[in-house]
Amino acid sequence: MTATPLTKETADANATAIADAAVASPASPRRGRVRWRGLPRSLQAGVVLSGVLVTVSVAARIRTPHSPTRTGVGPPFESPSSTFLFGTDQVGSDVFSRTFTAGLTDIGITLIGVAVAFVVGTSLGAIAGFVGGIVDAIAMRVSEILQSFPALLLAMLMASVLGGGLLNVVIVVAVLGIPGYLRLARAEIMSKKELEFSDAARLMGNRPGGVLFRHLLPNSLAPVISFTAINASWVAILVSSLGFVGVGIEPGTPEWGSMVASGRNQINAWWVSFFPGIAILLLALALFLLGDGVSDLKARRKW
Amino acid sequence: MVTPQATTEPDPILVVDGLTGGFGRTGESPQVLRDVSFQIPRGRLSAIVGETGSGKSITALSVIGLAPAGFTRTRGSIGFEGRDLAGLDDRQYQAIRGSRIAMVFQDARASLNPTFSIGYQLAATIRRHTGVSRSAARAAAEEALVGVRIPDVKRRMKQYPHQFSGGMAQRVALALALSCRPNLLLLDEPTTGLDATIQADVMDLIVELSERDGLSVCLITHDLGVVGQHCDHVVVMRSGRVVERADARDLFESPRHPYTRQLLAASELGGHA
Amino acid sequence: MPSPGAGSAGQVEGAANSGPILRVDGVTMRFKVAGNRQLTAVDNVVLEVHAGESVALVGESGSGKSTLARCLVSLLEPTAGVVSLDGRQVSGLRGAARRRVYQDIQLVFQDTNGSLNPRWTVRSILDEPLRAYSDRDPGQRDTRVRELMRQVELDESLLTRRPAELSGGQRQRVGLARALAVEPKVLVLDEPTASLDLSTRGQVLDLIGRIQRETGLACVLISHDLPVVRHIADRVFVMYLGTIVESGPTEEVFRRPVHPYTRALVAAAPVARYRAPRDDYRLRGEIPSAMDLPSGCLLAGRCPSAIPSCFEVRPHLVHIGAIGSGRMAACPVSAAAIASAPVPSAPAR
Repeated sequence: MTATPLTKETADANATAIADAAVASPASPRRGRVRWRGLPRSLQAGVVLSGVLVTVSVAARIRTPHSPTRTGVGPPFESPSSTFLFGTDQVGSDVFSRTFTAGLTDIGITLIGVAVAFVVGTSLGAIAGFVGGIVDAIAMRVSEILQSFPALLLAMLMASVLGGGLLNVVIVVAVLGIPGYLRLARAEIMSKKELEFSDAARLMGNRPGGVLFRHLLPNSLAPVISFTAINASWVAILVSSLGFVGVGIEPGTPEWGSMVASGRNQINAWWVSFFPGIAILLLALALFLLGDGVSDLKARRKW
Repeated sequence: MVTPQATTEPDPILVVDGLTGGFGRTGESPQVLRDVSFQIPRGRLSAIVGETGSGKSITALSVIGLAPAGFTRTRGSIGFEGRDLAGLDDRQYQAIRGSRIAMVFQDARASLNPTFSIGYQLAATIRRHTGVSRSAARAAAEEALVGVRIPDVKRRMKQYPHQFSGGMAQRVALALALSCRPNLLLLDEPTTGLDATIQADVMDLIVELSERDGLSVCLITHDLGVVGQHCDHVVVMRSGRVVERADARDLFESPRHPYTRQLLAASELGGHA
Repeated sequence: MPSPGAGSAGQVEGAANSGPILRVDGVTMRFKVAGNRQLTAVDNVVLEVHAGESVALVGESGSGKSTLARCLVSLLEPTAGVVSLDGRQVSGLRGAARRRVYQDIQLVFQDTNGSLNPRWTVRSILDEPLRAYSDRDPGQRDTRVRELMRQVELDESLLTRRPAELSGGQRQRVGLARALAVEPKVLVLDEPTASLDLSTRGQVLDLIGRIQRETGLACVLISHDLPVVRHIADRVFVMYLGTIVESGPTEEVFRRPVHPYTRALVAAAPVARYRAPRDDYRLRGEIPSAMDLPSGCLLAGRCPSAIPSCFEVRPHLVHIGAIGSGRMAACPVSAAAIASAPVPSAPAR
């Protein structure tokens, strides 16, 4: 028998259509509207702190009390005073001006490095997870090799090959970050690939690329974003570590890591290392708070 | 709006009276249980029947003291063996849960710990509740598995949950629940996810155990087929309310509430008499 | 071999081609598993579906019915055998040619949660196949999307919702609308009601029936739920461990099952009555692993009717003319019993 309409008895059941509609949750918390007061504390703190850091760093590019790059604006190792708020270093440059000028360098390298690693790592990982086979095997072996070296050692090796310059520092930071994103995105895509909506996407006429980039990838980004949030503060430390060991940064360029390094033997002139050190700490803290906050927010809204 | 009761059990094992509650700090918004009252007869099979969102699971979890975090009971009592369980704290519940009232959850395999062997888990549970020696607990565990008719018990004791099929895992979960000789057994969707041919075996076993030990069993289910086949007393819930309570024969042969009639019609799909 | 009463509403479309709309010829699906072993999920399945007809593949977990469904819609490429759609072979196609197959055969998924992209709105979900498979402009696509919503009896206000904001029944209607968007000739429904509540189940089934009558679509239902199968299917194919063990007109098969597996399946199906009289025919033990199948009849180890020869020779599906046309079963023991004695019939319900 072909499906006959149900008898009177189940016509009754149609009344439950209303009940069924009532079960549907009346729209989960909508995205668009974000209330500042409703945000996690850590996210609020992170936004404020990073806002201050960026504002001050930009302001420093417009105007500083002394030239950040000129030597001998004052006597060497002058202790903090009203003229030189953070004192001067061994070549008589103003630590205050240098610290704030360096802000945009460190923040910029960190953010660009993270962004490049995110885009390249996630794309490669997504493709590796989706295609599988030999592509996946190669991607995994390469990232394992990269990850088996201590990060700083690898960075120094790469920098010595690439040479100095800010662009090369960005490349080094990005390459170090790629394996983490790659592996995470790959695992995520592989598990999402098993879900029925990937089959459904094929049935809806998507080419493999469409299945991956329109359907699987957007649904795999949540853990990658959480990882980015935490990863960024680690990258900030890595950038200043590179400066500290003198890799990539041209001598004299204001950069927090190298400034800390320049004062590390001056026990009596503590201010030379102290202020850029605090700056590194604040940047890492700001990024960590942002990351923690974003994770909190996501857990709360279940993206 | 409960239909007039045909029967009042002379000696029910469980009396839920006016249970009301919901999520949120005050239990007001949204309210998920509204004045839920029913009795579970002693020594027989009963069922709480309902669809998604009917409140049947929250009711069962409340009885065993495992209502989800966020659920607040605002009113009502849960009478069991002369006590009101509703007011008990976690520690007092520990003494009752397992040894007086036991529950088997829907996904039996997921409720077993994947890292320990079946034998170890059973023996450990028995030891925790009875304090017998290690070897006595082991013997009791073996006996419990034999009791739920698992073949080749000696070998099965050493195996891990993933080596058990859905039907076998369900039996292990039953053995685990029964190992401490509870008086009341709650079974949450005991047959969902099992193939029909396996379902029938599991239900036969449950009926047999109930008869052998005089155990009171309450199924929490949406499967009216299983209920009609095996249960004596039925509580139908919808949207947090009890809409009908009746002996199974009356419920199936002359359902009073329109919703019960709908459910019966829907499970037969227009009837294939 | 259309069953009596089949195609009563069919033959609206595809009348030009009198052959079966879907033909499955010896389809076998093997998977490699760890340790260089093979798992045979589907073994040499033969079946035909005619326009406007609905057939069901029935079986329990491990029967291979879902794998077969994926072979039918070309999501999986069978290890051996051929699937033909409207006389054209569709197995072995790749790229654009394979994508064109999806215009003629579509699948409604079991998991209403996992088969809809959680980040998309209902509108974009329904629009996607229209963009891929038609050259309608945005306005025409919008008209078609609204038409689809009407067809599956959903309110247009739901177009802006995401899957998580719908009930299970509503999600399954969206899944159905999406499959219908490209106006396929064959619709494969993989346990379409397994994740739904009872009362919703009835509504969705009625809807499927109505759409089928209106469009003349052929349906292949995959299910373990016998009431659902009885409600929808003209003919039924009973699967066990990847093989078809019995087939025939649905009502006849369920009323007078021949194969012991079918009989046990019917006997075990719960009936919502008080102590409904039931056949006590039970299988022993559990389904064997598809990795090392017995050499004789696949059911022999569990079958109450097995005789020694069952353990030696794998029986083939043969016509059982004695109990009606179009009935086939793969059990010589039961076939012989029928030939010599009155048919064992399931108790009246």
